[in-house]
Amino acid sequence: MNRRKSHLSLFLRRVAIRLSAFHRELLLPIPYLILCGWLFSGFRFGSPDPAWFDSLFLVPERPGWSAPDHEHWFGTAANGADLFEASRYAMASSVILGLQAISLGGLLALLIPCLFALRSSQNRYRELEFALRIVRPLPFFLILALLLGAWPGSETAILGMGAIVAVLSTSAMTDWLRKREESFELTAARIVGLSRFQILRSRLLPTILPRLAGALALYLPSTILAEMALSFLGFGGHRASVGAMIARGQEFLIEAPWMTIYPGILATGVVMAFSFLGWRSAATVRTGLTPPFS
Amino acid sequence: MTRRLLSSLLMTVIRVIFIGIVLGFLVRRITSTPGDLELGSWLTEPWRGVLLNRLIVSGRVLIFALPTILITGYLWGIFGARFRRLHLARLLSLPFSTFACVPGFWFVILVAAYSYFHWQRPGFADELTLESGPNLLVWWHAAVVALPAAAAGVAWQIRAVATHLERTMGRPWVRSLLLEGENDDTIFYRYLLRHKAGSLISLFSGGIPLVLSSLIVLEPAFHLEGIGALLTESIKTSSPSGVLISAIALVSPSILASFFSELFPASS
Repeated sequence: MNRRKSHLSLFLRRVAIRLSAFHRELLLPIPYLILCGWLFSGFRFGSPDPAWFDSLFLVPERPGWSAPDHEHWFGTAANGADLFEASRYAMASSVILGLQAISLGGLLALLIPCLFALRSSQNRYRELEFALRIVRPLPFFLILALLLGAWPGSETAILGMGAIVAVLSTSAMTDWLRKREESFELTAARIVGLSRFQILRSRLLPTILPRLAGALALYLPSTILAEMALSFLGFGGHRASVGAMIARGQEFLIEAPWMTIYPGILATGVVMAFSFLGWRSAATVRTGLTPPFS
Repeated sequence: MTRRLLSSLLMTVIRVIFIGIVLGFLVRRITSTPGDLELGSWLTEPWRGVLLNRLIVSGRVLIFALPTILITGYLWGIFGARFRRLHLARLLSLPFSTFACVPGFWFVILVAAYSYFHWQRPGFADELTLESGPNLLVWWHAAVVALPAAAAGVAWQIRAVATHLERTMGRPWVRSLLLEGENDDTIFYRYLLRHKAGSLISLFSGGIPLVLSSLIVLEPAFHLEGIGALLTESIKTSSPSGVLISAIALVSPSILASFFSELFPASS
Protein backbone atom coordinates (compact mmCIF):
# COMPACT_ATOMS: atom_id res chain seq x y z
CA MET A 1 0.00 0.00 0.00
CA ASN A 2 1.48 3.29 -1.10
CA ARG A 3 0.90 5.44 1.99
CA ARG A 4 2.54 8.81 2.40
CA LYS A 5 4.81 9.01 5.43
CA SER A 6 3.70 11.19 8.33
CA HIS A 7 5.29 14.53 9.07
CA LEU A 8 6.66 13.15 12.33
CA SER A 9 8.49 10.27 10.66
CA LEU A 10 9.89 12.61 8.02
CA PHE A 11 11.04 14.99 10.75
CA LEU A 12 12.62 12.14 12.72
CA ARG A 13 14.38 10.91 9.61
CA ARG A 14 15.73 14.39 8.90
CA VAL A 15 16.99 14.65 12.49
CA ALA A 16 18.64 11.23 12.24
CA ILE A 17 20.38 12.22 8.98
CA ARG A 18 21.53 15.50 10.52
CA LEU A 19 22.83 13.71 13.63
CA SER A 20 24.69 11.12 11.60
CA ALA A 21 26.34 13.93 9.64
CA PHE A 22 27.56 15.46 12.89
CA HIS A 23 28.31 12.24 14.78
CA ARG A 24 31.95 13.18 15.24
CA GLU A 25 31.11 16.56 16.71
CA LEU A 26 28.46 15.00 18.92
CA LEU A 27 30.81 12.33 20.27
CA LEU A 28 33.55 14.79 21.21
CA PRO A 29 31.85 16.37 24.26
CA ILE A 30 31.56 12.93 25.92
CA PRO A 31 35.28 12.56 26.82
CA TYR A 32 35.29 16.24 27.87
CA LEU A 33 32.37 15.57 30.22
CA ILE A 34 34.04 12.45 31.65
CA LEU A 35 37.34 14.27 32.22
CA CYS A 36 35.74 17.35 33.79
CA GLY A 37 33.34 15.20 35.82
CA TRP A 38 36.24 13.28 37.35
CA LEU A 39 38.25 16.45 37.91
CA PHE A 40 35.46 18.49 39.49
CA SER A 41 33.80 15.78 41.58
CA GLY A 42 33.81 17.13 45.13
CA PHE A 43 35.15 20.50 43.96
CA ARG A 44 33.87 23.49 45.92
CA PHE A 45 33.30 26.47 43.65
CA GLY A 46 34.32 29.87 44.96
CA SER A 47 37.62 30.86 46.56
CA PRO A 48 39.39 27.87 48.14
CA ASP A 49 40.63 28.06 51.73
CA PRO A 50 44.24 29.39 51.64
CA ALA A 51 44.97 27.99 55.10
CA TRP A 52 44.16 24.47 53.89
CA PHE A 53 46.62 24.82 51.00
CA ASP A 54 49.36 26.26 53.26
CA SER A 55 48.94 23.47 55.79
CA LEU A 56 50.01 20.92 53.14
CA PHE A 57 53.52 22.38 53.20
CA LEU A 58 53.89 23.56 56.82
CA VAL A 59 56.19 20.98 58.34
CA PRO A 60 55.51 20.27 62.02
CA GLU A 61 58.13 18.76 64.37
CA ARG A 62 56.96 15.29 63.43
CA PRO A 63 55.90 15.54 59.76
CA GLY A 64 52.87 13.49 58.79
CA TRP A 65 54.04 12.74 55.28
CA SER A 66 54.36 9.22 53.95
CA ALA A 67 55.50 7.73 50.63
CA PRO A 68 52.91 6.57 48.02
CA ASP A 69 51.21 3.26 48.82
CA HIS A 70 47.98 1.43 47.96
CA GLU A 71 45.90 3.68 50.17
CA HIS A 72 47.47 6.99 49.14
CA TRP A 73 48.52 6.78 45.48
CA PHE A 74 50.46 10.04 45.59
CA GLY A 75 51.55 9.76 49.22
CA THR A 76 50.60 12.25 51.91
CA ALA A 77 51.55 15.89 52.53
CA ALA A 78 53.26 17.39 55.60
CA ASN A 79 49.96 17.51 57.52
CA GLY A 80 49.09 13.92 56.57
CA ALA A 81 46.47 14.90 53.94
CA ASP A 82 46.07 12.73 50.85
CA LEU A 83 48.21 14.29 48.11
CA PHE A 84 46.17 12.81 45.25
CA GLU A 85 43.01 14.58 46.38
CA ALA A 86 44.96 17.80 47.00
CA SER A 87 46.55 17.61 43.53
CA ARG A 88 43.18 16.90 41.92
CA TYR A 89 41.68 19.89 43.69
CA ALA A 90 44.58 22.13 42.66
CA MET A 91 44.34 20.86 39.07
CA ALA A 92 40.59 21.53 39.01
CA SER A 93 41.32 25.07 40.21
CA SER A 94 43.79 25.57 37.33
CA VAL A 95 41.32 24.15 34.80
CA ILE A 96 38.54 26.42 36.12
CA LEU A 97 40.78 29.45 35.64
CA GLY A 98 41.71 28.27 32.16
CA LEU A 99 38.03 27.79 31.26
CA GLN A 100 37.18 31.27 32.51
CA ALA A 101 39.98 32.76 30.42
CA ILE A 102 38.87 30.76 27.38
CA SER A 103 35.27 31.89 27.82
CA LEU A 104 36.29 35.53 28.05
CA GLY A 105 38.65 35.20 25.07
CA GLY A 106 35.98 33.41 23.02
CA LEU A 107 33.43 36.09 23.77
CA LEU A 108 35.79 38.86 22.72
CA ALA A 109 36.84 36.90 19.64
CA LEU A 110 33.21 36.56 18.65
CA LEU A 111 32.27 40.15 19.33
CA ILE A 112 35.17 42.07 17.76
CA PRO A 113 35.28 40.46 14.27
CA CYS A 114 31.45 40.50 14.12
CA LEU A 115 31.45 44.26 14.68
CA PHE A 116 33.90 44.63 11.81
CA ALA A 117 31.83 42.23 9.68
CA LEU A 118 28.85 44.61 9.93
CA ARG A 119 30.78 47.34 8.12
CA SER A 120 29.73 47.96 4.56
CA SER A 121 33.16 48.81 3.08
CA GLN A 122 35.00 46.32 0.86
CA ASN A 123 38.10 45.95 3.09
CA ARG A 124 36.14 45.72 6.30
CA TYR A 125 38.75 43.68 8.23
CA ARG A 126 41.81 45.72 7.21
CA GLU A 127 42.22 47.73 10.45
CA LEU A 128 41.64 44.66 12.60
CA GLU A 129 44.21 42.63 10.68
CA PHE A 130 46.68 45.48 10.94
CA ALA A 131 46.24 45.65 14.73
CA LEU A 132 46.63 41.88 15.03
CA ARG A 133 49.79 41.94 12.91
CA ILE A 134 51.35 44.35 15.41
CA VAL A 135 50.49 42.30 18.47
CA ARG A 136 50.91 38.70 17.29
CA PRO A 137 54.72 38.34 17.21
CA LEU A 138 55.16 39.47 20.84
CA PRO A 139 56.03 36.91 23.55
CA PHE A 140 52.66 36.81 25.31
CA PHE A 141 53.89 35.19 28.50
CA LEU A 142 56.14 38.19 29.13
CA ILE A 143 53.15 40.53 28.98
CA LEU A 144 51.22 38.15 31.25
CA ALA A 145 54.03 38.05 33.82
CA LEU A 146 54.29 41.86 33.79
CA LEU A 147 50.51 42.21 34.13
CA LEU A 148 50.46 39.92 37.13
CA GLY A 149 53.46 41.71 38.59
CA ALA A 150 51.51 44.96 38.35
CA TRP A 151 48.13 43.61 39.53
CA PRO A 152 48.56 40.27 41.33
CA GLY A 153 45.49 38.06 41.58
CA SER A 154 43.30 35.56 39.77
CA GLU A 155 41.21 38.24 38.08
CA THR A 156 44.26 39.69 36.31
CA ALA A 157 45.31 36.19 35.23
CA ILE A 158 41.85 35.55 33.75
CA LEU A 159 41.76 38.94 32.03
CA GLY A 160 45.32 38.63 30.71
CA MET A 161 44.96 35.09 29.42
CA GLY A 162 41.51 35.93 28.05
CA ALA A 163 42.97 38.84 26.12
CA ILE A 164 45.72 36.61 24.68
CA VAL A 165 43.18 33.95 23.67
CA ALA A 166 41.08 36.75 22.14
CA VAL A 167 44.03 37.97 20.05
CA LEU A 168 44.79 34.45 18.77
CA SER A 169 41.13 33.54 18.15
CA THR A 170 40.29 36.89 16.56
CA SER A 171 43.14 36.34 14.15
CA ALA A 172 41.70 32.97 13.14
CA MET A 173 38.13 34.33 13.06
CA THR A 174 39.08 37.20 10.77
CA ASP A 175 40.78 34.77 8.42
CA TRP A 176 37.73 32.49 8.28
CA LEU A 177 35.33 35.41 7.82
CA ARG A 178 37.42 36.91 5.02
CA LYS A 179 37.58 33.56 3.19
CA ARG A 180 33.84 33.04 3.64
CA GLU A 181 33.10 36.51 2.27
CA GLU A 182 34.76 35.45 -0.99
CA SER A 183 32.51 32.38 -1.38
CA PHE A 184 29.78 32.07 -4.02
CA GLU A 185 27.03 31.81 -1.39
CA LEU A 186 27.95 35.20 0.10
CA THR A 187 28.11 36.83 -3.33
CA ALA A 188 24.64 35.46 -4.04
CA ALA A 189 23.38 36.75 -0.68
CA ARG A 190 24.69 40.22 -1.52
CA ILE A 191 23.07 40.15 -4.96
CA VAL A 192 19.75 39.05 -3.47
CA GLY A 193 19.95 42.12 -1.26
CA LEU A 194 20.40 40.76 2.25
CA SER A 195 21.60 43.30 4.78
CA ARG A 196 24.99 42.94 6.49
CA PHE A 197 23.27 41.87 9.71
CA GLN A 198 21.26 39.18 7.89
CA ILE A 199 24.38 37.95 6.13
CA LEU A 200 26.24 37.79 9.43
CA ARG A 201 23.42 36.04 11.27
CA SER A 202 22.35 33.51 8.66
CA ARG A 203 25.40 33.02 6.42
CA LEU A 204 28.58 33.75 8.38
CA LEU A 205 27.99 32.81 12.02
CA PRO A 206 26.52 29.30 11.50
CA THR A 207 29.69 28.19 9.74
CA ILE A 208 32.14 30.13 11.92
CA LEU A 209 30.84 29.31 15.42
CA PRO A 210 31.75 25.58 15.46
CA ARG A 211 35.24 26.51 14.25
CA LEU A 212 35.61 29.02 17.06
CA ALA A 213 34.69 26.31 19.56
CA GLY A 214 37.40 24.09 18.01
CA ALA A 215 39.96 26.88 18.26
CA LEU A 216 39.11 27.50 21.90
CA ALA A 217 39.46 23.78 22.64
CA LEU A 218 42.94 24.02 21.11
CA TYR A 219 43.90 26.96 23.34
CA LEU A 220 42.58 25.48 26.61
CA PRO A 221 45.67 23.35 27.45
CA SER A 222 47.93 26.35 26.77
CA THR A 223 45.98 28.48 29.24
CA ILE A 224 46.17 25.72 31.87
CA LEU A 225 49.94 25.46 31.35
CA ALA A 226 50.30 29.25 31.52
CA GLU A 227 48.30 29.39 34.76
CA MET A 228 50.47 26.68 36.32
CA ALA A 229 53.65 28.46 35.21
CA LEU A 230 52.46 31.76 36.71
CA SER A 231 51.59 30.05 39.98
CA PHE A 232 54.99 28.34 39.99
CA LEU A 233 56.69 31.73 39.66
CA GLY A 234 54.57 33.10 42.50
CA PHE A 235 52.47 35.47 40.38
CA GLY A 236 49.26 33.49 40.68
CA GLY A 237 48.11 34.99 43.97
CA HIS A 238 47.15 32.91 46.98
CA ARG A 239 45.37 30.11 45.16
CA ALA A 240 45.59 26.32 45.12
CA SER A 241 47.40 25.39 41.91
CA VAL A 242 49.63 22.55 40.77
CA GLY A 243 52.31 25.13 39.86
CA ALA A 244 52.34 26.44 43.41
CA MET A 245 52.37 22.86 44.76
CA ILE A 246 55.47 22.02 42.70
CA ALA A 247 57.18 25.29 43.69
CA ARG A 248 56.59 24.68 47.37
CA GLY A 249 57.16 20.93 47.16
CA GLN A 250 60.66 21.34 45.75
CA GLU A 251 61.80 22.59 49.16
CA PHE A 252 61.31 18.99 50.34
CA LEU A 253 62.83 17.32 47.30
CA ILE A 254 65.19 15.24 49.45
CA GLU A 255 62.88 14.33 52.33
CA ALA A 256 59.60 13.93 50.42
CA PRO A 257 60.20 13.87 46.63
CA TRP A 258 56.64 12.66 45.94
CA MET A 259 55.36 16.12 46.88
CA THR A 260 56.96 17.49 43.70
CA ILE A 261 56.90 14.50 41.38
CA TYR A 262 53.31 13.26 41.63
CA PRO A 263 51.42 16.56 41.24
CA GLY A 264 53.50 17.08 38.09
CA ILE A 265 52.50 13.68 36.74
CA LEU A 266 48.81 14.48 37.30
CA ALA A 267 49.20 17.89 35.65
CA THR A 268 50.95 16.32 32.66
CA GLY A 269 48.20 13.72 32.28
CA VAL A 270 45.37 16.24 32.47
CA VAL A 271 47.04 18.72 30.08
CA MET A 272 47.79 15.88 27.67
CA ALA A 273 44.17 14.71 27.76
CA PHE A 274 42.88 18.23 27.08
CA SER A 275 45.47 18.66 24.32
CA PHE A 276 44.53 15.47 22.48
CA LEU A 277 40.84 16.36 22.75
CA GLY A 278 41.61 19.91 21.59
CA TRP A 279 43.59 18.72 18.55
CA ARG A 280 40.78 16.30 17.69
CA SER A 281 38.12 19.01 18.10
CA ALA A 282 40.10 21.49 15.99
CA ALA A 283 40.58 18.90 13.25
CA THR A 284 36.93 17.79 13.32
CA VAL A 285 35.50 21.27 12.80
CA ARG A 286 38.27 22.08 10.27
CA THR A 287 39.77 25.10 11.99
CA GLY A 288 42.90 24.87 9.84
CA LEU A 289 44.98 25.91 12.87
CA THR A 290 48.37 24.39 13.57
CA PRO A 291 48.70 22.48 16.84
CA PRO A 292 49.98 22.57 19.53
CA PHE A 293 49.64 26.32 19.92
CA SER A 294 48.49 27.52 16.52
CA MET B 1 61.02 44.39 -2.51
CA THR B 2 61.48 48.07 -1.57
CA ARG B 3 57.78 48.33 -0.83
CA ARG B 4 57.93 45.26 1.37
CA LEU B 5 60.99 46.60 3.17
CA LEU B 6 59.26 49.90 3.87
CA SER B 7 56.10 48.15 5.03
CA SER B 8 58.14 45.88 7.30
CA LEU B 9 60.05 48.87 8.71
CA LEU B 10 56.81 50.72 9.39
CA MET B 11 55.33 47.71 11.16
CA THR B 12 58.46 47.36 13.28
CA VAL B 13 58.37 51.03 14.26
CA ILE B 14 54.69 50.75 15.25
CA ARG B 15 55.43 47.55 17.16
CA VAL B 16 58.31 49.25 19.04
CA ILE B 17 56.10 52.23 19.93
CA PHE B 18 53.30 49.92 21.07
CA ILE B 19 55.54 47.76 23.24
CA GLY B 20 57.23 50.91 24.60
CA ILE B 21 53.88 52.30 25.76
CA VAL B 22 52.79 48.96 27.25
CA LEU B 23 56.14 48.41 29.02
CA GLY B 24 56.27 51.96 30.33
CA PHE B 25 52.78 51.69 31.76
CA LEU B 26 53.36 48.28 33.36
CA VAL B 27 56.80 49.17 34.76
CA ARG B 28 55.37 52.29 36.36
CA ARG B 29 52.65 50.21 37.95
CA ILE B 30 55.05 47.44 39.12
CA THR B 31 57.39 49.93 40.83
CA SER B 32 54.48 51.42 42.78
CA THR B 33 53.81 48.03 44.43
CA PRO B 34 56.07 47.05 47.39
CA GLY B 35 58.72 44.49 46.44
CA ASP B 36 60.54 41.73 48.27
CA LEU B 37 63.80 43.34 49.39
CA GLU B 38 65.44 40.04 50.36
CA LEU B 39 65.63 39.08 46.71
CA GLY B 40 67.28 42.32 45.67
CA SER B 41 70.90 41.45 46.51
CA TRP B 42 71.95 41.46 42.85
CA LEU B 43 70.91 45.09 42.57
CA THR B 44 74.19 46.16 44.17
CA GLU B 45 76.20 44.77 41.25
CA PRO B 46 77.02 47.06 38.31
CA TRP B 47 74.22 46.90 35.74
CA ARG B 48 76.31 46.41 32.65
CA GLY B 49 78.04 43.33 34.09
CA VAL B 50 74.78 41.84 35.32
CA LEU B 51 73.10 42.27 31.96
CA LEU B 52 76.04 40.89 30.02
CA ASN B 53 76.32 37.80 32.24
CA ARG B 54 72.59 37.17 32.02
CA LEU B 55 72.57 37.59 28.25
CA ILE B 56 75.41 35.09 27.92
CA VAL B 57 73.57 32.52 30.05
CA SER B 58 70.32 32.93 28.10
CA GLY B 59 72.27 33.06 24.84
CA ARG B 60 73.62 29.57 25.50
CA VAL B 61 70.05 28.28 25.87
CA LEU B 62 69.02 30.00 22.65
CA ILE B 63 72.04 28.54 20.83
CA PHE B 64 70.59 25.10 21.54
CA ALA B 65 66.90 25.90 21.20
CA LEU B 66 66.62 28.05 18.07
CA PRO B 67 68.69 25.91 15.65
CA THR B 68 66.85 22.83 16.97
CA ILE B 69 63.51 24.44 16.14
CA LEU B 70 64.58 25.67 12.71
CA ILE B 71 66.57 22.64 11.51
CA THR B 72 64.21 19.98 12.85
CA GLY B 73 61.10 22.01 12.04
CA TYR B 74 61.98 22.72 8.42
CA LEU B 75 63.56 19.36 7.53
CA TRP B 76 60.87 17.25 9.14
CA GLY B 77 58.14 19.56 7.93
CA ILE B 78 59.28 19.25 4.31
CA PHE B 79 59.73 15.50 4.74
CA GLY B 80 56.26 15.25 6.29
CA ALA B 81 54.68 17.21 3.43
CA ARG B 82 56.39 15.02 0.85
CA PHE B 83 54.87 11.88 2.41
CA ARG B 84 51.57 13.52 3.23
CA ARG B 85 49.61 10.39 2.37
CA LEU B 86 51.19 8.67 5.38
CA HIS B 87 50.33 11.66 7.64
CA LEU B 88 54.04 11.82 8.39
CA ALA B 89 54.01 15.45 9.58
CA ARG B 90 51.53 14.57 12.31
CA LEU B 91 53.54 11.52 13.34
CA LEU B 92 56.84 13.43 13.38
CA SER B 93 55.44 16.33 15.39
CA LEU B 94 53.56 14.09 17.83
CA PRO B 95 56.50 13.41 20.22
CA PHE B 96 57.25 17.14 20.43
CA SER B 97 53.57 18.10 20.83
CA THR B 98 53.22 15.52 23.58
CA PHE B 99 56.38 16.73 25.29
CA ALA B 100 55.03 20.30 25.11
CA CYS B 101 52.16 19.14 27.36
CA VAL B 102 54.64 18.45 30.17
CA PRO B 103 55.00 21.52 32.42
CA GLY B 104 58.55 22.62 31.56
CA PHE B 105 59.36 23.89 35.06
CA TRP B 106 58.48 20.49 36.54
CA PHE B 107 60.59 18.68 33.96
CA VAL B 108 63.74 20.76 34.62
CA ILE B 109 63.35 20.32 38.39
CA LEU B 110 63.17 16.55 37.90
CA VAL B 111 66.26 16.53 35.66
CA ALA B 112 68.18 18.74 38.12
CA ALA B 113 67.26 16.58 41.09
CA TYR B 114 68.05 13.36 39.25
CA SER B 115 71.44 14.56 38.05
CA TYR B 116 72.31 15.96 41.46
CA PHE B 117 71.58 12.67 43.22
CA HIS B 118 73.02 10.32 40.61
CA TRP B 119 76.03 12.20 39.25
CA GLN B 120 76.69 14.42 42.29
CA ARG B 121 77.48 17.31 39.98
CA PRO B 122 75.20 19.04 37.48
CA GLY B 123 71.71 20.38 38.06
CA PHE B 124 71.25 22.44 41.19
CA ALA B 125 74.92 21.98 42.20
CA ASP B 126 75.55 25.71 42.04
CA GLU B 127 78.25 25.65 44.70
CA LEU B 128 80.58 23.44 42.65
CA THR B 129 83.35 25.28 40.83
CA LEU B 130 85.44 24.00 37.98
CA GLU B 131 89.14 23.68 38.69
CA SER B 132 90.49 22.54 35.32
CA GLY B 133 89.38 21.69 31.79
CA PRO B 134 86.56 23.13 29.67
CA ASN B 135 83.43 24.18 31.56
CA LEU B 136 80.96 21.73 30.08
CA LEU B 137 78.67 22.16 33.06
CA VAL B 138 77.27 25.46 31.75
CA TRP B 139 76.44 23.84 28.42
CA TRP B 140 74.73 20.96 30.20
CA HIS B 141 72.62 23.48 32.14
CA ALA B 142 71.74 25.29 28.93
CA ALA B 143 70.80 22.02 27.20
CA VAL B 144 68.46 20.98 30.01
CA VAL B 145 66.58 24.27 29.79
CA ALA B 146 66.63 24.33 25.98
CA LEU B 147 64.98 20.91 25.64
CA PRO B 148 61.51 21.80 27.02
CA ALA B 149 61.85 25.34 25.65
CA ALA B 150 62.21 24.05 22.10
CA ALA B 151 59.59 21.26 22.22
CA ALA B 152 56.51 23.36 21.45
CA GLY B 153 58.41 25.40 18.86
CA VAL B 154 59.59 22.30 16.99
CA ALA B 155 56.08 20.80 16.99
CA TRP B 156 54.58 24.03 15.69
CA GLN B 157 57.28 24.49 13.04
CA ILE B 158 56.91 20.96 11.64
CA ARG B 159 53.14 21.30 11.35
CA ALA B 160 53.29 24.86 9.97
CA VAL B 161 55.83 24.00 7.24
CA ALA B 162 54.04 20.78 6.29
CA THR B 163 50.57 22.37 6.29
CA HIS B 164 51.76 25.25 4.14
CA LEU B 165 53.23 22.90 1.53
CA GLU B 166 50.29 20.49 1.65
CA ARG B 167 47.81 23.31 1.00
CA THR B 168 49.78 24.38 -2.06
CA MET B 169 49.73 20.84 -3.43
CA GLY B 170 46.01 21.12 -4.07
CA ARG B 171 46.42 24.19 -6.27
CA PRO B 172 45.48 23.94 -9.99
CA TRP B 173 49.03 24.61 -11.25
CA VAL B 174 50.35 21.65 -9.25
CA ARG B 175 47.59 19.41 -10.59
CA SER B 176 48.28 20.54 -14.12
CA LEU B 177 51.94 19.53 -13.69
CA LEU B 178 50.76 16.10 -12.59
CA LEU B 179 48.55 15.84 -15.67
CA GLU B 180 51.48 16.79 -17.86
CA GLY B 181 53.22 13.65 -16.65
CA GLU B 182 55.72 15.02 -14.12
CA ASN B 183 56.38 12.66 -11.23
CA ASP B 184 55.71 13.49 -7.56
CA ASP B 185 59.37 14.03 -6.63
CA THR B 186 60.01 16.47 -9.46
CA ILE B 187 56.85 18.44 -8.72
CA PHE B 188 57.64 18.61 -5.02
CA TYR B 189 61.36 19.35 -5.03
CA ARG B 190 61.79 21.24 -8.29
CA TYR B 191 58.60 23.29 -8.54
CA LEU B 192 56.81 23.40 -5.21
CA LEU B 193 59.76 24.02 -2.90
CA ARG B 194 61.27 26.63 -5.21
CA HIS B 195 57.96 28.37 -5.68
CA LYS B 196 57.17 28.41 -1.96
CA ALA B 197 60.68 29.08 -0.62
CA GLY B 198 59.96 32.72 0.23
CA SER B 199 56.77 32.09 2.13
CA LEU B 200 58.36 29.11 3.88
CA ILE B 201 61.18 31.33 5.14
CA SER B 202 58.60 33.76 6.53
CA LEU B 203 57.51 31.01 8.93
CA PHE B 204 60.83 31.01 10.80
CA SER B 205 59.80 33.65 13.31
CA GLY B 206 56.82 31.69 14.69
CA GLY B 207 58.73 29.62 17.25
CA ILE B 208 60.88 32.43 18.65
CA PRO B 209 58.26 34.03 20.97
CA LEU B 210 57.50 30.55 22.35
CA VAL B 211 61.16 30.00 23.31
CA LEU B 212 61.53 33.47 24.81
CA SER B 213 58.34 33.04 26.83
CA SER B 214 59.47 29.69 28.18
CA LEU B 215 62.80 31.19 29.33
CA ILE B 216 60.85 33.26 31.88
CA VAL B 217 59.62 30.08 33.58
CA LEU B 218 62.41 27.60 32.96
CA GLU B 219 65.39 29.68 34.07
CA PRO B 220 64.11 30.38 37.59
CA ALA B 221 63.00 26.73 37.88
CA PHE B 222 66.52 25.50 37.08
CA HIS B 223 68.20 28.27 39.15
CA LEU B 224 69.82 29.44 35.92
CA GLU B 225 70.70 33.11 36.14
CA GLY B 226 69.62 34.24 32.72
CA ILE B 227 67.52 37.09 31.39
CA GLY B 228 64.23 35.28 32.14
CA ALA B 229 65.24 34.85 35.78
CA LEU B 230 66.23 38.53 35.86
CA LEU B 231 62.70 39.48 34.80
CA THR B 232 61.00 37.43 37.53
CA GLU B 233 63.46 38.67 40.19
CA SER B 234 62.95 42.27 39.06
CA ILE B 235 59.15 41.95 39.20
CA LYS B 236 59.38 40.49 42.71
CA THR B 237 61.77 43.21 43.88
CA SER B 238 59.82 45.95 42.04
CA SER B 239 63.01 47.04 40.28
CA PRO B 240 62.08 49.32 37.34
CA SER B 241 65.43 49.10 35.59
CA GLY B 242 65.55 45.30 35.93
CA VAL B 243 62.04 44.86 34.54
CA LEU B 244 62.64 47.28 31.71
CA ILE B 245 66.01 45.88 30.62
CA SER B 246 64.98 42.24 30.83
CA ALA B 247 61.67 42.90 29.05
CA ILE B 248 63.44 44.76 26.25
CA ALA B 249 66.01 41.97 25.96
CA LEU B 250 63.21 39.39 25.70
CA VAL B 251 61.04 41.35 23.26
CA SER B 252 63.79 42.51 20.89
CA PRO B 253 64.60 39.13 19.29
CA SER B 254 60.96 38.48 18.40
CA ILE B 255 60.48 41.98 16.98
CA LEU B 256 63.68 41.57 14.95
CA ALA B 257 62.62 38.12 13.74
CA SER B 258 59.18 39.37 12.69
CA PHE B 259 60.86 42.26 10.81
CA PHE B 260 62.93 39.79 8.78
CA SER B 261 60.02 37.39 8.26
CA GLU B 262 57.87 40.21 6.88
CA LEU B 263 60.46 40.84 4.18
CA PHE B 264 59.33 37.59 2.59
CA PRO B 265 55.89 37.01 1.04
CA ALA B 266 53.45 36.05 3.77
CA SER B 267 52.18 32.52 4.11
CA SER B 268 48.43 32.42 4.71
